[in-house]
Amino acid sequence: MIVFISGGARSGKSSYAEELAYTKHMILKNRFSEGKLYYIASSRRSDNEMEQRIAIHQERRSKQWTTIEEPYDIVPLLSEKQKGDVVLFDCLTVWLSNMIFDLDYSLNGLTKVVCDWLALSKKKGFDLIIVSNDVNEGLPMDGETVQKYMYYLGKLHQLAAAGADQAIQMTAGIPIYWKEGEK
Amino acid sequence: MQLVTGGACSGKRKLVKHEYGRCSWITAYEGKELKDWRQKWKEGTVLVLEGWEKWIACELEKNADDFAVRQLFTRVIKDICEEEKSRDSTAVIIMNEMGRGIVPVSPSERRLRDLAGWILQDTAEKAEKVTYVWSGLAKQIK
Repeated sequence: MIVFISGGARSGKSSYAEELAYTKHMILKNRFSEGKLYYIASSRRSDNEMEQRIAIHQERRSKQWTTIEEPYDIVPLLSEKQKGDVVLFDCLTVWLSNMIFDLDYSLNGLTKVVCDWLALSKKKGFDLIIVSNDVNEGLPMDGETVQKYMYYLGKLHQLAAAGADQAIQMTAGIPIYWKEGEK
Repeated sequence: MQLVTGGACSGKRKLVKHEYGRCSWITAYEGKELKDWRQKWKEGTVLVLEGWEKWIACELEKNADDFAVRQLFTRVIKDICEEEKSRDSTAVIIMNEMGRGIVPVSPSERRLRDLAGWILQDTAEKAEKVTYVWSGLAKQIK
């Protein structure tokens, strides 16, 4: 099952995604004793502020989690996952900026990668939860770079939401289900 | 009149293209002006107007009176609704949601954000149907 969760800054996306992943994991553990709970973090430990943000997220997660820090190449990580595993990917926005600004990826390249994630989850049967940020509901910003980023992110959101079984918009810590899936 | 709103690049255009057949598409992003909408609305097509923040910004440059600008757009929306009725056709208005970011530093941007928000509300009030698009998914909110 694929879940797409997005919303504004500090809207409770990550907390809700973690809860969801943890609950899924606990349920699945009864049926698939080998099933593991993974957290794939796309942020790099670039400075003190990032270290602190990472620390907040880490403290919240229990020992059940296996954390993998990977800013770029998610496909090989997902290829190893199997039925009964739950993978939380946090988050698409940071990953996208890594891919654009460090590796100069095109929209075609990015689309293909995200399609591969979705296909891997379906093929292997693990649960994939993708967290992202809504940054497009403010005043449109000038500047070619930021417009390109917004455009790419918009396309990837549409792709992820279309491929997801559940699509959830977080507002003030409350999940709004745009796609219900099987809860 | 139908209003389609949502953030930039959220899939509004794709939704409208999918939902309606032949369209007279007038977009500010290609430098088209709003005032020509009546002539450009071809017989038997759905009128689509997009890029309102550009048209609003343009009007704000010429006019210092916020209230007058708001009224001007209310008037346009009203005219479109009347024309739609007399032609027994459909008009679709695509407007960006732009009020959910940080308060802009520049006064002119704050003014644009305010006006765009008010005009969005006015249009939603007149619309028979309002659709909010998020990540390519659509919810009818009116």
